[in-house]
This record gives sequence, structure tokens and C-alpha cells, in this order.
Amino acid sequence: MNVAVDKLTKRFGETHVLRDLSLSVSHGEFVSVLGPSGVGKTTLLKILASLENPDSGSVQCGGRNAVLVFQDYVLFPFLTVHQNVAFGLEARRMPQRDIAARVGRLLSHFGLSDKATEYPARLSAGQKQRVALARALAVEPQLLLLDEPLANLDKNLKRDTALYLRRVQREFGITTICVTHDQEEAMAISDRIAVMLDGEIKQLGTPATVYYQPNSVAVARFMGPVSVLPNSLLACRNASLADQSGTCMLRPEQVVLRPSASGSLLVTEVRLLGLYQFCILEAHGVDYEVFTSHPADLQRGQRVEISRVAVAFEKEPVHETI
Amino acid sequence: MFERSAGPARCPDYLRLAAIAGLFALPVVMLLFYSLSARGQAEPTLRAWRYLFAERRNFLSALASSLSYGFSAVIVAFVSCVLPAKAIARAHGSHTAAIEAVLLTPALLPSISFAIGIHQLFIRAGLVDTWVGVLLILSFVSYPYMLRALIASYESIDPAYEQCARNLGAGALRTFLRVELPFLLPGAAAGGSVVFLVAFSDYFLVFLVGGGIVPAFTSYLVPFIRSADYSIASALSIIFLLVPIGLFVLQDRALTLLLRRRGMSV
Repeated sequence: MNVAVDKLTKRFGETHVLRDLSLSVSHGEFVSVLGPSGVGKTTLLKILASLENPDSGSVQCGGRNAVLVFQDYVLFPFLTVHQNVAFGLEARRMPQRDIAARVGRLLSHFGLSDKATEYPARLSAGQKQRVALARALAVEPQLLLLDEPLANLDKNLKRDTALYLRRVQREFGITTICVTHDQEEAMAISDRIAVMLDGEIKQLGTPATVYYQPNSVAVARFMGPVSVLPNSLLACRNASLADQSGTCMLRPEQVVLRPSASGSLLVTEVRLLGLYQFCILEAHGVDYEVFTSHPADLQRGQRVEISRVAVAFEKEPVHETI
Repeated sequence: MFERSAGPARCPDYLRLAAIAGLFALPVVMLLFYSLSARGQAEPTLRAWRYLFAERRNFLSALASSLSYGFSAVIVAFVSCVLPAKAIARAHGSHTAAIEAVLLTPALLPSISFAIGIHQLFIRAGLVDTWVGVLLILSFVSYPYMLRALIASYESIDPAYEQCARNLGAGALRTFLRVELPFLLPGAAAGGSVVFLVAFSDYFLVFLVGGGIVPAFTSYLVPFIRSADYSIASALSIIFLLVPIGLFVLQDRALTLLLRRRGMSV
């Protein structure tokens, strides 16, 4: 099904949570709404799940057919795994024989057959998540809503679970909207990412697009470390990487710093942050924060030049030196 | 590294427990002693217990009546308090505190002053001298204990459970019975215990509304106390004590089993 959210507005008291938010999702697509905590992501999900009413705007997504998997899974602790998965089907008064058959199939699919009679308190976080997914998919929703699906998992488990979620989503062919504050999580899991800031969708695009071609500095910064340099310093030929104010945004993997006595930038600070090197470079009395994943042996007071290297997924690969 | 300094010798826990248990057990021992004695007789006697066995039909009937309106008061209090408790627990703001205070009034006022006014209403409604009247007046004065317990229970339930159940297509009744009720049970048991005790042990209200026509264990007991036949009164008091203790033990076991089976803390 297609999900169409049009000019959604929601206030809680004086706080404007959603401002004219619009979003469209195609059938079978996996879209992540990515934004910082408290930006209104969960409110958006609850509106899509018909658990909240918007102040204005419209949602076309099937109401009851949208099932939400909560961040903490919200498994009913007094019901067994089987009873949890069967809950929505019993609510729909499906015959018991059909319920048993469908729940059995789902438990088998999610590798939970041996846990059917267990209570949620005895399950691991991963098993709880699978039960929550099975419970949601049991009612064959037209739209699956995931609230921070990887938030409760160990860092090592996140990537595996992201891939697992993606596989399940493809197998069931279900349109899915996921909200998360984790940029890496969103990139690992989504067909498209909607970056949500200040109650609005600021950019909607593929992970590569929002990462390498952000439409604003705010989106660029939220998607990860970015070096924002004026075009006057960096002759950036890739127009999509420069906004109207003449700013060029480069990811750490696109930046190479080379010591050069004739370089136009002066190193005033340099730090190694693990995956990348962070520098403060000064030019014409202005400091610029620069991130590079190609660490160089730099010292404070040294002059450098920036080389920009092309990386995969960029729309227009370029190589330039300033 | 550091060493714990040896503190003053502490009284062992079991000694303290024994001391507290002794304090509580002492009146019961006295009751037992009285129940085995008789006026003007130095040796222990089973006179009181023999009398109760001979009169078992009457006092068991009174006991059954007290148990029936006691349990019924618990049910009435639970049913009437569930929705207000949920509303108060879920609502935010100073007005809910005021509403809660008004609803808790019956527990704050002396039952005599409260009952006199209601008694007039019951006379007009034809509820005096009836079992239903006794049940209603006892439910009315004891429901605040259930209300408070249920408000606390609802406050501890994450609203996401209800949202999740509704999102999966469950109606209000199914959501309550399958999702919320199990969460409420420990609180309802605690509140219900107090409601039961208030109803089961009440003498004045049962006499006022029941008019001596509705049998009650307390009504059966009081004449023996007034006539200073302490041996029979003590024997009856022991039975009176054993009933709620037995019920509390049963209730505790049932709740423990229910929660442990589900891997939850007790």
C-alpha cells in the first residue's frame, strides 16, 4: 500500500511537535524516519497507528491495518509467547484452529517454536523482538511501524538484527516505516531515509543521497561528521554538494589533508577520533572544522591543502585540490 | 583495599523476628488461655469449644453471612473503583488530586457520621434490614482502600500496554481482562484485603443497616463479650482471627504462584 501523509500538525500544549509534515511511502518500501530524540518521531508513528489524532492534516495508511512494534516490544508479560502472537488474531475473532495454524507458522519462521509456552520475562532481548515482530505480522498488517527497533540491542547485535529485519520485511513484502535516532541504523536498514528535524521532514532520499548530497548543513551534520567549507576556499565542482549559500559539505572519506608550505589553511588543532581525524583549520581569520578518514601526521602551526577524493555512491565523482 | 571494622554485636535477625512475632502472638495466647478456662474453675476446660460445636449451626450461619457480604464488598469495591482509578492514574494536573481527595472521603470521616446520613437514604430506598443494604453500606465505607490500591496499580502500568492491545485490534473489555487485570491483581489483593477486613469485622454499620436481621459474626460475638463470658467470646475470637489469616495465606500463595510461573518478581 502507499502511505500518504499530508501536512500533519500536532501540538502538545504549547509545544509544536509536528509542523506541516508530509511523507509518502510506496508499497513494499522500507523508510526510516531519522531524527534526534524528542523531535516527534514516535508521535508520527502513533498517528500512523491511529493511537494519536493529529490536530490537522491527513493520513492515508489504512488505520487499523497499521501495526506498531513498540521500542520496548511491550510483550504482555502474563501471556505466553503463543498467546502474545495470537492476541491480535483472537481480537479479530478468528477461529481457534486458524489461529493455531498461523501462530505455529510464524513461531516456526522466527525460530520460536520451542519458546511457545514461555513467558516474556524468560526471553532474551533478541527473542522478545522476534516475538513482537511475529505478533505484529500475525494480523497481516498493510503497514508495519517500528519504533527504534535496534535501540535495546547490544552494539554487536545491531547490524545482524538490522539485516534480519530487512530480510523479514522483504519476505513478507510489507510496507515499513521505522523511526530511529541512529544514522548508522537507518542507513543499514532503509530503502529511503526521511531526515526529521524541528517537526518537519527536511530531506527524503536514499541513504547515499541524504549522506552524500544533504540539502542543508543541518541534515548533513545530523547524518554524521561533515566538513563545511565555503566554495571560495574549496572549488567544489559538484553542485549537489553545495547549497545556495555557497557552502561545500564533505564527508570524512572525501577529505585528504596534505602538509604543504604553500597551503592556504593553517592547522590550529588536530585530534585522532578513532575512525577519523578531526582538525580545526584556519583561513582568513576563520576557523573550519574538518573531518578526514585519511589521517595525516599533522602538527599545530603547519600549513595544509585539502584534496578531495571521490568515493563510491557519489553522484558525480570529482577529484580536486585547493 | 580496606577492612571492615567490626561493629557492635548485632542482635540476630531471627531473635528480632521472634520478638515481634511474640508481641503479636501474645494476645492470641491469651485468647487461647481464656477459651480453655471457665469462671470459678482452676483446671483447663473445653466448655467453650463444646458449646460452639453444639451451636455450630448458628455461628457458622453468622460466619457464612459475614463472609458473603465481606467478599461481595470486595467485588463491589473493585468493580466500582476500576474506572475511576484508571482515570485518576492516567490524568495529570491538580484537579485529579482534588477529585481523588473527594473520593477518599469515606475513609477519612468517622463511619458513624457517614452512616447516619446514608441510613436515612436507605430507609427511603427500603434497603434497611436487607443483605443488599448491608453490602452497599460496607462497600461504600471501604471502597477508598480499593480505590487507592488500584490507582497505585494503574500508575505502575505502562500505558503502552493498552495502546499496543488497542493497536492489535482489541476492544476495551479484552484489553482490560487480558492485559490490565493481571497487572492489577496484586494491588487489588492488597486493597481487597483491607476492604474485606473492614466489612468482615464491622459491627456498628451491619447492626445499623442490617437491624439484627442480617446475620453477622460480629453480632453473634458481641453478646458474649457483653455478658462477660470471656471463654466463649475468646473461642469465637480465635475463629474470627483464623478466617482472614487463612484467606490471606491462600491469597498470598495464589499470587506468588501466578507471578512466579510467569518469571516475574513477587
